Amino acid sequence: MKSKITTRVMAHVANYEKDRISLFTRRLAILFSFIILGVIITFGVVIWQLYEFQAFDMLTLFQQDSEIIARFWQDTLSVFWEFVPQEWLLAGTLCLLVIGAMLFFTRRQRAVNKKKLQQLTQYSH
Amino acid sequence: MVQNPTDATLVLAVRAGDIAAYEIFVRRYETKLLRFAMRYVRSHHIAEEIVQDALFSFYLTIDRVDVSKKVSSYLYAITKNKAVSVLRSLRNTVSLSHVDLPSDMDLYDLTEKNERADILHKALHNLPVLYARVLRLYYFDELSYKEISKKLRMPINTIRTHLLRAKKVLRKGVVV
Repeated sequence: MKSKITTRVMAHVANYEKDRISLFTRRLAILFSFIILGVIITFGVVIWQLYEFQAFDMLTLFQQDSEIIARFWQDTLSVFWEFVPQEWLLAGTLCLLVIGAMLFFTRRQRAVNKKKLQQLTQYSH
Repeated sequence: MVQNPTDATLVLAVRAGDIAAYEIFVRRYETKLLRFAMRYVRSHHIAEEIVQDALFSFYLTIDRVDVSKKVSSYLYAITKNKAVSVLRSLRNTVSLSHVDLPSDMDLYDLTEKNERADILHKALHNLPVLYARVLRLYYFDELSYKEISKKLRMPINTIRTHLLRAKKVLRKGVVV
């Protein structure tokens, strides 16, 4: 049987944790959305430019005989690479790295939040 | 969790996200702290509010608690500070009735104002400590929601809710 003090303190704690977890999740979600939008935009630009220059046509080489592929693949790829807008590709890769870093650095807090959320149901009134 | 965990073990468990460990901690100390708070305020109701406040404040700062030292002394220190602060606020409330009045105020107005102040003080005494505190900070100290939220380390919405509920309870107390 819980006393009045325990019940009230735990209710305060539960509300506080709910607010804190929800704030953390919202902030993370907003940050993620922006970065994912960045990834979509940058890779979109990369693909659009490759289409513009019909660079993907070069890759049809890989549908040829293995002998031809073996002979020309390096040349084809180096020319293809020339068409890739590298500053956009770099930006997209950086965005992906930021997402990875965010997932890595928040992993402990996310695990703690998950554990707390599982327990919060018993203190909610 | 082990059968009879130490305070340090409980604090570390809470830090790792185990909220139930805090319940064990609260149960362990609530009676002791209540007795301790009663030494300062002599009112069971106010002492209960102080203990609740202290235990919640302890939770808010749990990440900063040095587990290599005695955890309970920190908790007792918080409770003592809360009790002293409540005593101080109660004293401030009493002194409000001795406010100097303008000389042109007639005796009837003076009596009526004193009566109103008395009713208000009595009603404030009957309010839960947290409500009374929020009311005082808002109306007497004239702090904004944001400032109160910072001072009490609570979200603005909680302050707003406390103020609303406090006014309701106060209104009821004053009317009755």
